[in-house]
Amino acid sequence: MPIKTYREAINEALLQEMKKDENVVVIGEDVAGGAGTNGEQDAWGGVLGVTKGLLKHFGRERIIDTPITETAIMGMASGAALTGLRPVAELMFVDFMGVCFDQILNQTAKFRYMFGGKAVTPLTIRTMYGGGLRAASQHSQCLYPMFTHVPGIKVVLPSNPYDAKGLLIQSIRDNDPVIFMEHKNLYDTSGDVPDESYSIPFGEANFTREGKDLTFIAMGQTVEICNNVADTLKKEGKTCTVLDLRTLSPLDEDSILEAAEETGKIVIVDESYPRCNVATDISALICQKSFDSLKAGIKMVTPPHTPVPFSPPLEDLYLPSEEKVLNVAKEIL
Amino acid sequence: MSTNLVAITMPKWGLSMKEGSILKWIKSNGDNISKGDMILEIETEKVVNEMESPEDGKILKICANEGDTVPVGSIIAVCGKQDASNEEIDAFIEEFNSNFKSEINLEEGEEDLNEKIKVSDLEINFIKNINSNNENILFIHGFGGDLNNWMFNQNELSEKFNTYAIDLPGHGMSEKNIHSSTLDDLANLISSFCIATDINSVNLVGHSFGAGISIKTASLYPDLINSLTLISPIGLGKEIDSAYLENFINAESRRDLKKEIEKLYFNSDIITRDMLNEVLKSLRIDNVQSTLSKIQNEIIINGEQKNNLIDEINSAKVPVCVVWGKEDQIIPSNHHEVLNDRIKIIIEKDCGHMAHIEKPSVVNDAINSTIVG
Amino acid sequence: MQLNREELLKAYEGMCLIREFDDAVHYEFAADAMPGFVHLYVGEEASAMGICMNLNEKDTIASTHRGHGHCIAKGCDVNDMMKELYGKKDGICGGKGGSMHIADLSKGMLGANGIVGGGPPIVLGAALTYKTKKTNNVSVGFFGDGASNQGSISESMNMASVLKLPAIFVCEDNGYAESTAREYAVGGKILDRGKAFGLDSHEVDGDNFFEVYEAAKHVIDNARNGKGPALLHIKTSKVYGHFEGDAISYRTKEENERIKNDEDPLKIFKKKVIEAGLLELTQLENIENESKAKIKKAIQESKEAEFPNANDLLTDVYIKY
Repeated sequence: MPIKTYREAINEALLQEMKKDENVVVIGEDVAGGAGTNGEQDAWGGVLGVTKGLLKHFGRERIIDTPITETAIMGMASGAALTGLRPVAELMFVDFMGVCFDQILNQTAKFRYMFGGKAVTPLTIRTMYGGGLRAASQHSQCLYPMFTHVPGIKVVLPSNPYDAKGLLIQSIRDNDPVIFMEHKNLYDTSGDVPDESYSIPFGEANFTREGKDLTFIAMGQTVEICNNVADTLKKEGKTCTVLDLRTLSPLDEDSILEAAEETGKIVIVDESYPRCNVATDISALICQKSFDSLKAGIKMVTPPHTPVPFSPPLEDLYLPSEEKVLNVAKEIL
Repeated sequence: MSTNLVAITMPKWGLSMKEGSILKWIKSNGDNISKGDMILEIETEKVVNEMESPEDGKILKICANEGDTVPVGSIIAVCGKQDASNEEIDAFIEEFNSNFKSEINLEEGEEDLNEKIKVSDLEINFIKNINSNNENILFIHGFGGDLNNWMFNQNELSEKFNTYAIDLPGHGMSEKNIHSSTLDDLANLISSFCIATDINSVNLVGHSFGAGISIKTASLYPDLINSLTLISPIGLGKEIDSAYLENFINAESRRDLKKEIEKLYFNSDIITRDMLNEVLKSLRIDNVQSTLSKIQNEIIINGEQKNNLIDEINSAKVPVCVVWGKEDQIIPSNHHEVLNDRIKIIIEKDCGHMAHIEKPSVVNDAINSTIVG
Repeated sequence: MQLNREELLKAYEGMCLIREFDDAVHYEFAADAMPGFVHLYVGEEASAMGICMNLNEKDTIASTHRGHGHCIAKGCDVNDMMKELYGKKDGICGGKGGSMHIADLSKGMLGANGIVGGGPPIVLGAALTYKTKKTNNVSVGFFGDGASNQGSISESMNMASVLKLPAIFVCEDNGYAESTAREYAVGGKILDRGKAFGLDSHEVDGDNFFEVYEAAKHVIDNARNGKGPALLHIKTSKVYGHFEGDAISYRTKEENERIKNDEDPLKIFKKKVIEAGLLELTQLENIENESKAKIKKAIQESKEAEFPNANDLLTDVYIKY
């Protein structure tokens, strides 16, 4: 099977869906780049090159570079979805939700409910999240718990190239608003990705490792961390289950309980701020619905309750790492 | 070195298997074993299955314990016709290990053995294993399967025969979009595949729908076919679990699919999440569901089997063997009763619709003896 | 005058229906018969009708918290709207939206909006759809003088200008953002803000239906023909306060009287058409009586209608989840 990077997988999903459906348009800042200049058109293809090359296939009518104006981008994408397009809007960094959250929180997420079920809003918002690039407090946050909190939107966190393509195609085809969150550190990771179009349904978590001694629950980039720790522990004779949630909303509660009950010892690894995050949410779920299966207190590996620091040694201390996850796992093994 | 001692090694199930984990030893040190006895349970990335003993004798020492994961080909037990001293056994293991060099580099990506060839305008994926023997085997999987279904058969039989396993259109890594999928079309496709790969004569091994294609190919192209080994074939009666096909096509989640896949096996413990994921990966590709629906319509009409292949199989001029799991829930094994006595029939107990996976040595022996006579 | 008799009758029918609807809501709310918050449009009717009479069913509008007038002008059913205000199951949004979220996508009404400045960004999207699909439709975003200070409005005007979208921005300036005067809260001129973004910008007397109609016709026709977005700054006034229950103590008695007597768009319209001999007084009085009867019936039916039940609580969040 062809090997592709996470970045290529996302680009291929956009290319294939735009070819398939002329209502799909890409909207965002520098999604092509070079607009209005005398220099290279498609100069950037997105700030990290994810949408590079789409311009030559679809032109500026469908690869729409906007001013730096996140509220107008999110509003325009929502309104376009409401009236017959199938837009993929880019919020360059998820941190910028601060300047446009009304259009997501109060408008697009609520159209369907407020309008008594009459609205159909097939909107995909692509955004980058996560630390590790020394990008400091305003370009490194996760913030997915804040979207997960809001009824009416779906939250997708692909952890690998295969999932990135299949989940993005599903996001675009899906008739509800979706926020599709790409971890910056994953763009250069690679894996098997079929050339054909395929879609992965939402709400179906994925078991990436199976074991008997401990269960890791992970999402986005932390899946790879947990896989590596599980492989390390296997050499020491302990086998671990790793569950990749894939989508936070909808949440695959059945698989979470299945994974928890398999071992009774659970470590949840979540890169978002520790209060009211996905780890606390899942921990509460397991305690409510499967308390008797627990053989040890649920452990969480998260950053501390601080903004993301800039200085490299500080950021390394801040982020969940294999070493931290391994140590926490050993506490209950 | 003692000629008495034999190494039992981690088997290679499927061409991509690199290592396996010992789940459970069914036999213990000192137990007598016969060829074909189930001696332990092994888990690979794709499947959990019991390993059959390759030898007659006695287990003298187990070298890989439950929970261990070891590379394919490494020693997991020592077996002997008669007892041996501990020194003798340890020396044997030491010598084995000093000679053993895993061919598999666990760090490197797996070698891709899949090949593609254009046949009747369709891109067909296949895996071949050629060792210059004159007899060719072509494996044809059933509805919803792929060439990996032969993971316990192709490798094993490749020691003696040239083997080919194909992905049917709409399956595995073959082209997903097809216009027509009657048995005649697919028999033509098999013939074209043989021409394209320079196969002049072939022994077909088909499962279920693939067995139907095999019968049809033998009927349309008698000169091409040397023998038929058919596992749970369609076409010999009316009954079939039509809901299985419908639910299989429309399965969205691992849980939905598991309920269906469980119907295929006598012992559903064999099903792993990875096995289900592989099927789901295929089902999620665009056009796969619609192609499978077209094939479904070639298998079933009004809840019953559409094809009647009884005359064609009974009048085949080549050796034919039919293997059927007694507890097959998809197509009942009593359909074999319509076969004439020229055809060898093996009804295997404790076995469902997937005899080639649940009882590989029975199927492999059947294939071998059908070809060799 | 470009409008024929039928169109003039339609204009007066619309304005009367809006007037009767919101006057009735005023009394119902005061009688404690209606839940929630309501913001009434009485006094601003010429704006909604003058704009929407230039739109067809496939054109769209996005409205504000003061949205009943826009909804009626765009063709929403007053019975279904009234049921919505009472929170009834057969309301236009199934009782899930209420006064501030009335929407009927089949009529091109993309929603009233509880967020000040929330609608115009959505209008950009509708306009982008029309531009992409080359349909010659336009989309109109209403907002108030208060919203004119929101970043969303500036961002929307700029984006529409940059992408040359068929989007019309209509600022209904009734002089007050909640209890705060325009003179206090608006720096510079609203009209200049549109000009600064390169929009074709016009100031319009919102009490005069004909002036609104003409200005809207000009900018809407241009937008349909690919000439890009525009801003109409409509000077108007509202009879009631910001919301029902507002004692309006920030306005003087004289001002209230002036608004009622001298700035009533219905009175002004009536006077003009009768003086010009375009319509008969009896025709206009018939329309007034019909409007009263329609609204009376709507209120009666709405009161009798059923509330949604527990099953309705969980539906309509997602299409599939």
